[in-house]
Amino acid sequence: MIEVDGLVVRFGELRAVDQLSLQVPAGCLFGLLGPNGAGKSTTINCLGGLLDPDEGSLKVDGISVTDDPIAVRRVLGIAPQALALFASLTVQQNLEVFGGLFGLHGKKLAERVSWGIELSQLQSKQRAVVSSLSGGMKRRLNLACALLHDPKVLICDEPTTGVDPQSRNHLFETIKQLHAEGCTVIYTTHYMEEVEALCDRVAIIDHGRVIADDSIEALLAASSNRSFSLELSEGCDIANLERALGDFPIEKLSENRRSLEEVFLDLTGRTLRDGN
Amino acid sequence: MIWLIRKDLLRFFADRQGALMAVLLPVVLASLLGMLFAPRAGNNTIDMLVADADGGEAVRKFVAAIDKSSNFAIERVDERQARKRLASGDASLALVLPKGSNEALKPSRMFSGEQGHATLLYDPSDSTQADIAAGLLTQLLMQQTMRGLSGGQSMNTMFSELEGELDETSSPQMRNFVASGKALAKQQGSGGGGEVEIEPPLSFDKSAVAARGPAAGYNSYAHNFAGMLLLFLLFGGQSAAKHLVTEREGGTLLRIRLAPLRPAVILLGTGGSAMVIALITTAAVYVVGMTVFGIRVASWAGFSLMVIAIGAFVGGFALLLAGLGRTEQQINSIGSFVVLVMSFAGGAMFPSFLMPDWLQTVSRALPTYWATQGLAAMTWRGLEAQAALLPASVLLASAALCAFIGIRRFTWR
Repeated sequence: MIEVDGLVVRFGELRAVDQLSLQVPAGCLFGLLGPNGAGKSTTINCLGGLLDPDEGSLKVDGISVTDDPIAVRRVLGIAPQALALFASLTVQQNLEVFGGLFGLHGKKLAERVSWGIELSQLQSKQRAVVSSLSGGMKRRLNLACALLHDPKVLICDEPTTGVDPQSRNHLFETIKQLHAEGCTVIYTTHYMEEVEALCDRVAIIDHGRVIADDSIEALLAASSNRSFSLELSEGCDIANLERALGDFPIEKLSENRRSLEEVFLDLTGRTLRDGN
Repeated sequence: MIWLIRKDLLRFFADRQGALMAVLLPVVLASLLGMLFAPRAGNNTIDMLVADADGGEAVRKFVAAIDKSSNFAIERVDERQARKRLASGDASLALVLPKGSNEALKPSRMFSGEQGHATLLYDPSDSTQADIAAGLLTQLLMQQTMRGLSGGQSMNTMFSELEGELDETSSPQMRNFVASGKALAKQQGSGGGGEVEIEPPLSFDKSAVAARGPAAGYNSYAHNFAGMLLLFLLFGGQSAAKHLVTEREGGTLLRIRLAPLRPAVILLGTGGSAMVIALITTAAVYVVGMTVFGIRVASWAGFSLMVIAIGAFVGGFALLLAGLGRTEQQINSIGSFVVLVMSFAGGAMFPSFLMPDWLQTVSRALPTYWATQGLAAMTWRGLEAQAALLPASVLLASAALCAFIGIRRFTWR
């Protein structure tokens, strides 16, 4: 569904994205991780046709982004990290404006606006101005605005920043539902537990390059320093464990899985990143 | 408290260009206005058309005296041309000397009580200049007439003419004055006797000129409504530019860019919305002007064309400002400066005749000049629709140029 091949984006001397390649299969819920300034937003902006790459190619649903960005935008929905809503307009008016910008009109627009209000669970607030909504409500509306034109691909850029647990859970459920309906989702976040809970596959980007790209299980399995916990039967001598491991009576053997966050820190380092 | 002040100072100076403009632009604007309203040095002539329908010698001499005067710069035309040019706003003053003026200019008419009449046609928005011109012309006329009486022969001729005009209705004072005058003219070559009123042989009757039509007749509200409307429409364009920058900073512009639209279309949409708001504002303002203040429209087609062209210019102006100013502060400074200068110099705030000649010439390069001229033509000047074509074309071309520059210079980040 998404193919990025040899992407290079330069800002002056800085190579913000450096020979980045990615493949996101159709229907995948794909986690895109990376420290600040790693090149995630630049890659997303290139996918949306907002930035022209210096080298490389990008395709969404088989359409070249550089050749036909308008067609790509018809199949792509992006929920930006910033709450990109018109604060002085009502919930309904925001949905109508963004639906209209994507070419919806008449009955279809009205249907999708109703759907968006329901999706964001803002039925009681549809005539409220956005500036009066809570952070969680705004996040839900922000996502709904990206989905009005029923895109094949959804990119969620840190959708749970600053939301309460209930809204966060609602956003998770919405994304899972979209995934179940066949929508391809790229999910970027700094919360690793969200990626572990949601995503089929993860790519970790750093310094403009993909440094890991696999399923979460495979990423965790490939991580070094694996450890196990053993619960020994009563009276067993742990000093003889190593010698007698072959036929030792183990009651429970479990692997101490390293968390995705630990894997992420192993791969990207523990030095503070403040972006570029 | 100190930290609050310091915080705002830091914010103000963080945008160095904006801070610099906030200081520089008022200085430039104040200098310009000071220059406009400073006492004018050197030549300060009144441009006037002169139509001599008589052609007599005395009239020719009078016209030559006007021409020679440092107060006037004249152009000889016929009355039809004079009226046409005044009606179109191409000239602001014309002296029409009708047939019979030569006879009226005889010195004897100063005493006979039979004044001739010349017409001083003037642009109704420029009546002060007509008053000044009437005074100066009367002064010139009296000088010219009295100069004609400097020799005894002329005095004798004048009193002989006056004697010939005496009849049974003439007053004893006039008879006494003429007899004494004749005697003195023979003796000394100057002066007359007795007490008789002297008045200029010609009076200059002022007449405002507008094209014929339902709007004919000056309505001062029409001029002021057009000027103030323009000023605030341009400020509306400035607001639209600021709004675009706010959307850019807030992220909504980025989201709009994710819609399947070309970047130029998005910017033109912003210009278009500024235009629509300008049209709505114009319609509302003129509804009040017409219903409450009696403003009349001469040609609805021409008026509509002007309103659309002005709206388009406001839209283009919004895009230009959005392209020139990177921050809201910069747009504030640049926008306020440009709006005020264009409004002052273009005649939207003060009648252009108050400006120095050079500025009146320069103002023709300003869209605001064409906007005020076009609206005047379609309202109180009472001109036909075709008189709106040139101003509307200039405004539309200016709108296209502003939009082009604004779109080229606009940065999305």
